[in-house]
Amino acid sequence: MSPAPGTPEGAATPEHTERSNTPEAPETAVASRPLPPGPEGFQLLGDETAGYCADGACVLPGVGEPGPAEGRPTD
Amino acid sequence: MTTPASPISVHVWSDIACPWCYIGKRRFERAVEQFGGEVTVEYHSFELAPDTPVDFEGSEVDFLSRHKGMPKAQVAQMLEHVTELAAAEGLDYDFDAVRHTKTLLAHQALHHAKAEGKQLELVERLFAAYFEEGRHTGRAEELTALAAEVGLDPEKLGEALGAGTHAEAVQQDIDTARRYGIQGVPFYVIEGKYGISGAQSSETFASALRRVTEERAQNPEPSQSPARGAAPAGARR
Repeated sequence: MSPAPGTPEGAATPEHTERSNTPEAPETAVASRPLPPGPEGFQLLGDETAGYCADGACVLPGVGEPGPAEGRPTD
Repeated sequence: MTTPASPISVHVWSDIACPWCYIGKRRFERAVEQFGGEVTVEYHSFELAPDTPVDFEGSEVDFLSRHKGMPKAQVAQMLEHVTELAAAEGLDYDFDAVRHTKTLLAHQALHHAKAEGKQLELVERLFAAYFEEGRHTGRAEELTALAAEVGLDPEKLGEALGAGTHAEAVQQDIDTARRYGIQGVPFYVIEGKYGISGAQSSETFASALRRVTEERAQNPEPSQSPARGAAPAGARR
């Protein structure tokens, strides 16, 4: 399975907790396991099984099978 | 001033060419029904594949296999899987008919619709046109025809598309998404505080809405502005 979109090849999976130096950042994160890529500064809800699209392609994380195509970072 | 009775604001970054965005839309709508409270929803632009030509010649399978270098059979199998998941949400995806295209003009049309108070209607129409009807949503004439179906003035939209009236607004949405670190869609920002990535379950969406309500009840003070930098609430569901 490919790395999650938003996770460059070889890069660590982003932690879905908020930066302490972000003024609007909530103090705690709800998620107890990795989430699909999301911005810092928001308290992320949900889980990693949700499908999403990035860079013209889509994935269904958690199933072990990509969607229409594997996602990559948009940058 | 935000009160417990005021609508909960939800900002959604999405692309009409994103199959998960349409699926997520259905799930979110069901969540709002379950929640029962008032929610305002505003869509924001996220161009999934900006390098896509307006008139791509070929099927969705062709595009994805070329774009990702995957065998066509594998792509077809994946699309079938997504189609099944969409069907579970009552959506009739037809990837054989999909006209893969650049969605920049569609995003501009959605901003025009927002200004006219018809954004949610056009979002729904464009998703259906793209995934279920094989309409060419990259062309201005097709967009104006679809917009007319939801009550928008096609001539007015045509002029706006021709003049690029909303091009800057689209770019601002894309820039905001980048600034937030949004790398995938759909992405939901609830009350400028909670982020929900992907087409999560209706239960997840509903839980987030209930959570906001509970927090408002516990702390009925003026709330922060929605989704830092994003425009305040748009159409109301």
